Amino acid sequence: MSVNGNEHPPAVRTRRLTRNYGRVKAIAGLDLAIESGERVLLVGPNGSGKTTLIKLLATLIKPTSGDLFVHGRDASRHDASIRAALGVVLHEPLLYGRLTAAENLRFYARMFSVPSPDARIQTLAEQLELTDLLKTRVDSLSHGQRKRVALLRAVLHDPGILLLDEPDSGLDKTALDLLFDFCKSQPRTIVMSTHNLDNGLAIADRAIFLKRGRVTMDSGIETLDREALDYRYQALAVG
Amino acid sequence: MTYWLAIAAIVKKDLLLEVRGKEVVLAVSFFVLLMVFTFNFAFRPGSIPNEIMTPGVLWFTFLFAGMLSFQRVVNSEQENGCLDGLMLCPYGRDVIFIAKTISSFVFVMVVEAIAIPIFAVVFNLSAIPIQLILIVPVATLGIAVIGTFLSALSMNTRLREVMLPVLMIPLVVPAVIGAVESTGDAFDGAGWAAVQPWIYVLIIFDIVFLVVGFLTFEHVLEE
Amino acid sequence: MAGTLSARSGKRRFGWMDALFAVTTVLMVVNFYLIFLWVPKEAVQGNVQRIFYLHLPVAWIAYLAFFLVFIFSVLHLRKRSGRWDRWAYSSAELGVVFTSVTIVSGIIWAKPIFGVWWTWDARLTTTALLWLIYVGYLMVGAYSESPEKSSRLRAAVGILGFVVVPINYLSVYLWDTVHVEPIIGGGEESFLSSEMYTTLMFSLFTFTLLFFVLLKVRVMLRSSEETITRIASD
Repeated sequence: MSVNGNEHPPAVRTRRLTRNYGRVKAIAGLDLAIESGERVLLVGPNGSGKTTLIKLLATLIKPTSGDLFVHGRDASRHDASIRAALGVVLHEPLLYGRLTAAENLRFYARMFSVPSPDARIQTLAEQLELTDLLKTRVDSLSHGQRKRVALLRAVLHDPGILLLDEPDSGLDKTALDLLFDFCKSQPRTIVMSTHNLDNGLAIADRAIFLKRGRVTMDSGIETLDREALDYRYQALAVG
Repeated sequence: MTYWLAIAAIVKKDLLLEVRGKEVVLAVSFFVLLMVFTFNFAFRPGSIPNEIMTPGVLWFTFLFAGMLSFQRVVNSEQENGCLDGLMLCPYGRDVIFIAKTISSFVFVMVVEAIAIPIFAVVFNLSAIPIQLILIVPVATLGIAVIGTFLSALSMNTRLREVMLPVLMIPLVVPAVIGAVESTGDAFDGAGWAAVQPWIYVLIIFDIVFLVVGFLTFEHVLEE
Repeated sequence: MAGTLSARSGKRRFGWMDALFAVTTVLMVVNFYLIFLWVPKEAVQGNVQRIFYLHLPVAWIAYLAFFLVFIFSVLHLRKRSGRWDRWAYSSAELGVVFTSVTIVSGIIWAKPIFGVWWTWDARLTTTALLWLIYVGYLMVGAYSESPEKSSRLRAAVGILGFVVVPINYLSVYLWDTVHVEPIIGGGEESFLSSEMYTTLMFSLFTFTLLFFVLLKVRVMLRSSEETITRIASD
């Protein structure tokens, strides 16, 4: 996997990563390095660039300029193989409503060439308490249930990096605990965006604050004084 | 190999969705039936012999039926962000293009298989010529390739229902000419030799647009 | 029009674009003199044939314009800078204008010579289809959500539109030889005297020059349009 003789390249590295939407700079020259196994929280108000950054890291959109490296590999050239190492949860569940949860999952398992997909789906479904729902059409699932199926979809192929875009939105406490317990049990790099700092702190070990596509603060959770963080977050959310 | 397995997986998923939803084949077949009946009133009774009228009516009906189908097949990926789901898979965007083209092709072929016997009855044709076995798939593929590409393209424009025909009809003219002419020759009882040049034109058309679509699809799909 | 060219710099300067514009104007006047006064009347078709010296160069420009759209579109998809999209779009606009003139002049020429306004021959039909395709190209930009995205969408149309030209021509040619009685005689295939040849070549050169001047002007205007939109949206 390593390139340039670097033994352990960071899981994700960006160099002056920029993405414009027309005149708006959604992400403005981001330099980031996320080590393997780090659990990073992206925090910021709406429009701060969280979703755009997740989509850039997921290779769903191309940067206007700048570079992205995943496990040392240049995303502009190896985007297809990089995607095999990514598990992504977006706002929308990415599931076909008229198919059952199991049919959706089997489809994605095939797309990611997952070996023995049925056993894999069963195991993960037990962990996420979805076993009884596998034969239900996605149309008939509740929002929270869909979120869990979406998470299962994202980890089917055992990706090294999980990208979660506000996975906590619209989830009740129990569903959220389940989701986070699952995330914690997985030895992966996690990049998760949220606008609810309290939710995120439970699993993260680093927080990156975004505003207008720029990093305003980047710090380990442990070293941060909670009150200062809250103050900072309030200021960000308002501004 | 995994490349083709991925394409097969998407096509299979599309077929399953169609079995559940019956949004394309059933609805579009009914549309074709409507066209067959109402097209008759476009001509004064007996003014044009049916053998002359049929190829044109047939292929314009299929063209419109195709446009409805392609748009449906491509837009079905927009529910719940499923298109993003496909784009997150570890393949290039061309997998989506090829798979969607195959799905569209299969659906329209089914519609045509239903429609051609109905045409034969309504237009009092004594027999369905054997050459259609080759003409119909080759022409339908060309229409499906460009229809799929342009459906994905117009998906992101305003007025997308209008943009698809506006862009597609002038581009698809060679395929329509080839289809109508060869079908007409076949109905006239001409042999394979007469149909051959048109088959070549249709094959060239299919290949050219498959290649160009393959090379440019990622730019069209990207947000 | 020359005034707008240097307006960007704030003060009037006689730049090379103004010079080119002046040269083109002079050449075009000379061109019209050659076409309408200098070149002898064609024996069979009479004065109507003079339209040929306009029709052929304009048609050539139309195809050149669409070829450039193809090239610029490919460049745009590769480089993704707004610059090539500006060139492609401007070239498409001019192509549509020149195609319109080609078709109208063809119709005017065809009526007295062939007795019909329109024949479904391969050249005319292919040209008319091109017109339809590139009007579609211009529409893609007008009805899209984001300017960056729409530039990529129309680039795809610009590529498809030109790639289809030979297939179009081939299929219409095959179709046409089956159905249309060959009523075309004389016309461009007939013998050209040396004056006629000179006039044609001069006209070809002048129109090509005109095209590139217009293209450059249009690209500058488009760039200004984008600047204004940008300022207005800030």
